[in-house]
Amino acid sequence: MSGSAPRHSGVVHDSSVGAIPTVRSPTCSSGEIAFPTKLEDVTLTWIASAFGVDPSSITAFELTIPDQNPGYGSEIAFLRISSTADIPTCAMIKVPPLHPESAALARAAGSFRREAVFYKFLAPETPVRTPEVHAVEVDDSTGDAILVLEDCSSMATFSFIRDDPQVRLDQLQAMVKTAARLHAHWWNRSDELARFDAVMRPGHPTWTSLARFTQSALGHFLDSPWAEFAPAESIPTLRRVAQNFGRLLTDWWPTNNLTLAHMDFHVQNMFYDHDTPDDPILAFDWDGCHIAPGAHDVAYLLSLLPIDLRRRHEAELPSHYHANLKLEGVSNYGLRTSCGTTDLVVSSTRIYCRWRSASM
Amino acid sequence: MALSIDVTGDEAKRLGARVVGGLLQNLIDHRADKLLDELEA
Repeated sequence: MSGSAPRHSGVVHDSSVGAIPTVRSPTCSSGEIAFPTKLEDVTLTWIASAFGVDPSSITAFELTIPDQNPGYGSEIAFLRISSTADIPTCAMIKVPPLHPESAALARAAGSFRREAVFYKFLAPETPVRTPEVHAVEVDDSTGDAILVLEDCSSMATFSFIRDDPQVRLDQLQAMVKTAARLHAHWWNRSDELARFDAVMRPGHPTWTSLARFTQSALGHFLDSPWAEFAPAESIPTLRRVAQNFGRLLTDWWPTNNLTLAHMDFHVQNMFYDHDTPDDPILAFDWDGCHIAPGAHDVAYLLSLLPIDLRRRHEAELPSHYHANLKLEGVSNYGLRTSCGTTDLVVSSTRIYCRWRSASM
Repeated sequence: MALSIDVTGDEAKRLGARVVGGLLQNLIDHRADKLLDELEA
C-alpha cells in the first residue's frame, strides 16, 4: 500500500510470487506498547520516534513484506518513507518470528536479543561494515526486540545453493579479510565482551544447552530421510561425531585466543557493495555472535561452499585470513592454529545440526 | 512444525545434496575420525 495521507500505516506483502492479500493495520499510539514486535504493529508514530523526528514530518510510509522470508529466526519488511525530514527514504525492519514455535526457540536461545545487543552496543565500535543501524529497541525481560537497519537489498548477494553465479576467490578473500578485522579488534578481549550477557561464551548456559540440543538433533538426523544425502562412507564418522558433539562444543572447545566471532559467517549472510571495492563486505545476521575462536568463522565459510570450490580455495583462504590477522596486529598465533581441523569439523557439524533442527 | 521441509521435493533434494553432502564430504576430507582419535586419546 502506498498513499499520501498522513498517519496511515500500510503493510503490503510482495505478491510477485504468490497472491497474498494486502493487510492494513490500525494506527497504534506509541503509548499502547513500548515498541512493536509485529510488523503489523509498526505505525507512523513509532517510525517517527525511531528516526527521532516529529510524526508530522512523515507524510506516508509503506511496509513491504517479502513473500518468501529468507530466514526462520525473524520476520522482515522493507520500509519506504516519504518525509519532509532528513531521514532515509528506505530501511529494513526486523522483528521476532511470528510462528509460535520459532518465536519460542528464538526466546529460549536468546537469538533475537543477541542480535539487537550486537547492533546496539557492539556494531558501533566494531570495525567491519554491517547494515547501518537506524534504531534498535530491546526488551531485556522477554528478549523481544525490533531493528531498523539500512536497506541493503540493492547490493549483490551470494548463495551456496544457486549454481550460478558462483562466488569468486577475490570475493571470498574480501570476506575473510573482514573476518580478520572483526577478530583482530576483539582479540583476547573476552572480559569486555562478557559484560554483555546476551553474547554467548564458553560455559554460557545457552551454549551448553545448544550443545546438548544439537547433539540430540544430529542423532535424529542419522535416522531421518536427510541421511540419504550423506556419502555412505561418512556415516561411521558421523556417528562418532554425533556421540561426541556436546564435548566438541564444551570440553574440547578452545579456550585460548578467543574473540568475537559471527558464528554464522556464510556467503548468504554477506552483502557485497560494488560501490566500495576496497571494503565491499557487509555482514549481517549477528544473532549467534559468540566469544569463540575466530577461525570458526573461516571454517564455517569454507564448510558451506560447494565441495569443488571449497577444495580449490581451502589452502589459500586460511592463509589469507592469517596474513590479515597479522596485518591487524595479532601476533603469536600460528597459521596451523588459525584454521585447524577442529574448527572445520565443529563448524561443519554445527551447520549440520542447524539444518536438522530447522527441518524438524 | 511449519518449518518442515519436504525432502521428497526436487528443490529439497538439490539443496540437501549440495549442503548436507558438502558438509559430510568436508568431514571426510578433513579426517574428522582422526581428529576424534586425537581428542579422545
